[in-house]
Amino acid sequence: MRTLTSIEELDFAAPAMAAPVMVQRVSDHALLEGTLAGDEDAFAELVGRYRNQITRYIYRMTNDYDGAVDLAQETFIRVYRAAARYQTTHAFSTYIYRIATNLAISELRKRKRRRLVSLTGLLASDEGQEARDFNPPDDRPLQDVSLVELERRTTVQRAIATLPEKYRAPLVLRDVEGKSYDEIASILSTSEGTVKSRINRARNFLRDKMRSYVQGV
Amino acid sequence: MNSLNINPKACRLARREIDESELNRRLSDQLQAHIASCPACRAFRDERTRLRQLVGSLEPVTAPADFDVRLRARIAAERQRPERASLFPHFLVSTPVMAAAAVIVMLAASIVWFTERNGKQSPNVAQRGEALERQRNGEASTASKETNPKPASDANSTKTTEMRDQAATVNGGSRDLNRKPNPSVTAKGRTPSREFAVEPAQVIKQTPDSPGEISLSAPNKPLVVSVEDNRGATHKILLPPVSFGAQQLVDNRIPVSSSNSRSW
Repeated sequence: MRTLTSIEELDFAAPAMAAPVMVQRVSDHALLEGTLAGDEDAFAELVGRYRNQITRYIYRMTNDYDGAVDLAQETFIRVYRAAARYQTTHAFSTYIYRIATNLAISELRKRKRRRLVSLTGLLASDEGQEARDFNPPDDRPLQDVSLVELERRTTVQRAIATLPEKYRAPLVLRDVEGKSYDEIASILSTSEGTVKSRINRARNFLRDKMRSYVQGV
Repeated sequence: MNSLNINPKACRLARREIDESELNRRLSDQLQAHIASCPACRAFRDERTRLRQLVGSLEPVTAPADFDVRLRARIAAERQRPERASLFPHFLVSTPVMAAAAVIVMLAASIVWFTERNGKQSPNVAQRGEALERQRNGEASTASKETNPKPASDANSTKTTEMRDQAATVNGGSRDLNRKPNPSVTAKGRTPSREFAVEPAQVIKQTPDSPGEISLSAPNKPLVVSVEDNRGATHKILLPPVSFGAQQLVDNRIPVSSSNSRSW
């Protein structure tokens, strides 16, 4: 091993400081263009960005986790298939949420046709009809706080599931996904005024369903 | 100030702003002043805030760990699957297009039906009548050439004629006796079919063998006979329709009881 003769040698021998790497987030549009060009990693990145959001959104809409995962995958398959036809006039998030909304609403209509009621959706009712109170809330205090929390969440989820689909989508997009009115209007292909009105009616509907929770504070 | 703030219009505006505002974001000073002075709107704000917190506090939902793997598998399977060649594009079998097609088909069927119906009542179907006349003449000439070798194209018509001849023989020619012979058909022993449907006006020339006498088949519609004399003058004669029941009298058919050659 060579011995150091001066401090300068030590400076030169020191590993060079890595240049600061500017990590720039690639836009969704660029990732989609990469997908179109055959870059599988670009598509994987796109899936990574939206898989949780889309799965959560469809789950809130359909109240069925396995079905939501299937529909979320179908959403990405449609994005992959139609990458060439994608137009950059709207944000990609609007585009993918619109696909997911259409799939979720289509699934809800299929269920209505088949009269297929899932176990978790027993409270669900047709539009404008009163929901069946299959599992009335127990007013007795629960022992475990986590059970109370679980009961509350279940009630909220069931109440959302009883909303008519035209009210459910804007409410979930606004209060669960945190989208702006403008974006919701684009996703649902309707006017902003209609979106506001539907959200207001959906909240009134939920307030009536969850009166004990809303007024219990 | 409170009396200005608390009125239905101000409350309506305040509640709209509360509803449209972002959660946990500071409201405008004017709205806060209104809420401070209006218990109903304050209750509404608390209620809405609580409701939005409840909806927003649902348990987090994430995609399963194998989401990407399953998605890749589905995409790969879709790539490998041969594209089924559809006979019709998807939009052609959609419900609105099918409905429109059904309406068009029904309209077309209605038009055809009305045309046929009007055509039967209209006397102006000369072309069809001529075709029928040609067909009769053709059959007659075919029947007269039964003994001669026949071309392949006439095989069917000849076969039909033979069958008709056989039927006439079995019936002993009684049907011929009940019918007025059609002058245009010269086949011996042949049973001429007679159509009582619509036929065109026929051009009938007076034959030199029986001057002053013409034979007309009576249709079931008003018949206009146009007669042109030697001086060029045209006379029109309107004949009332002859019903099927009167046809026997007009045709001078032989009563069944007087026929000796009738065999059943």
